[in-house]
Amino acid sequence: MIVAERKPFDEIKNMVSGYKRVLILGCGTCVAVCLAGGSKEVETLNTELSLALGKDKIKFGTNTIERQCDMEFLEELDTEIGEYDAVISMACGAGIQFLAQRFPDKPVFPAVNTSFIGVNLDVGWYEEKCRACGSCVLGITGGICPVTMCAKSLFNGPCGGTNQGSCEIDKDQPCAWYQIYDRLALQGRLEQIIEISPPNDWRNQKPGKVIQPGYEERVKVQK
Amino acid sequence: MEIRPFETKHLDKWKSTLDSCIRCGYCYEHCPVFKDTRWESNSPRGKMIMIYGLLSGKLDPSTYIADKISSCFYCGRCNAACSSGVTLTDIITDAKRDFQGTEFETPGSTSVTNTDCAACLACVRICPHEAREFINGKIVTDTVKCQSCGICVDVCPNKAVATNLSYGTDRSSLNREIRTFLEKDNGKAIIFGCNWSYYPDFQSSVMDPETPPEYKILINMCGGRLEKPLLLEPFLQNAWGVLVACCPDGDCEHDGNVKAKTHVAALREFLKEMDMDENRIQLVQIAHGDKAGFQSAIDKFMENLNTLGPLNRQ
Repeated sequence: MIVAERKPFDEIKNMVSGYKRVLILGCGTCVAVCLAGGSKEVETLNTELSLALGKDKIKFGTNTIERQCDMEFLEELDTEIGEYDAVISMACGAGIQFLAQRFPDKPVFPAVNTSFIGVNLDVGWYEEKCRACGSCVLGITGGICPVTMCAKSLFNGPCGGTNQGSCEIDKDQPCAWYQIYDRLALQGRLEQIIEISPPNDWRNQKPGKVIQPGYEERVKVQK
Repeated sequence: MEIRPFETKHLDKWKSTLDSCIRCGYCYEHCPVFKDTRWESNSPRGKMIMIYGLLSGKLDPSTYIADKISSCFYCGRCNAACSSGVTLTDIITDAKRDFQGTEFETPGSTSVTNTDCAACLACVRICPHEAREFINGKIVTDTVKCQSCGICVDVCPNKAVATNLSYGTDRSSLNREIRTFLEKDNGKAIIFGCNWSYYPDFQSSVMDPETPPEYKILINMCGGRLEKPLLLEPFLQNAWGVLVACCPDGDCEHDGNVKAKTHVAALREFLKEMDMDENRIQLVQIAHGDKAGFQSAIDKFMENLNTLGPLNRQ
């Protein structure tokens, strides 16, 4: 899932202090699961802002929709949005942008910093696992992502900085390629470590786009 | 799941113990469920009589009775107060066991999960009683294991966890009490007190004072279910301060004090950011039954609050 962290309170407060009616909008999926932007966090932020900015100076409204990255759920706001002159979104960066795109005349402010794509290790504890590079090599790296876990994001490692299991940048940072070696050895396919992966083309990056097989025609019609 | 017929399988062993309940009613004033509704059938004594009825065949099982019996916060005050040494909470648990899986099983005061659940599993992981499980795409509460502590209510990011029967411990009831009290001329502070340890003793030991106090003690069932917006609500209603009382380290059966400490520490930081004195919100840890300690903590807090004066919100 996408993991986010709430921004410092002062930063949020300063963004909206010039407005009169502000909607605090939560997202009920990834950011809710990582305890950053679901309805509970919306309520907490609402209480804090109401206390800090005075109930009479700014009117705050609250809502949490299923997902801010789906237009059908954003549509639920079509009638309500007119009551506000700004929106604080607690969704990830994608949700915030889709919200801003649907209501282009409304200033939209982020209440969270989108951190990474990661996993849930325990309540409130998350770890980054994927950089969404678009060229997944997990099949030959024993299910350990070198783009995320290696400081140099090496597709073909390790480098000379591997030091008894640690990375040269920090002894507490495990060397991804050391782990990959161990994992492949465990699975009896160590020879795969010497395979050469073609370099990922990081040049001239454009926003990613995915159309799943079978939906090409549908997309063409909508364009 | 297959519905099984109601049998007093687990309750049978308590027959002779129930005979020793002399129905004195000493348990009444210690029970938070009874104190909320003032219904005999919600008191520990009432529960025992219903269980006696089920065992003797004089009462037929029903969801109504199951709801009454499953409404228990396991503070254990009734056990301590019982003049005949009956361990009422053990009997209640066995009654819940007998109701579980029958057509009469109901949640009572145990937690339920509504459709806003995002299946984040936070409640499953954090439940101190291992009462919550993810089964067939849904979070299910084990009505026997659940002790209605409310830790899951606080952790849920989508406000999907609630209790059908909350006996005044839900947010809206507590908010209502906060507002009503602070509207009064001398209403200054809200004290959140834990029912598991000292609050009932404290309450039963004082007569109605001549001048109403400047503070109100609200029973939350555990420090662990004190959500941040609830702790800030008094300030929105112009309270001068909020005191949170919870158990000493290691004493809370639900680790609710750990949660309360985290919340209060974060809110103290928040008050500082707001240029408000952080001491307007404080936490004290009081040992079980230490009513003198609780009172002196309140007095000290109020003394400091009176020095700070009213909250000056722009």
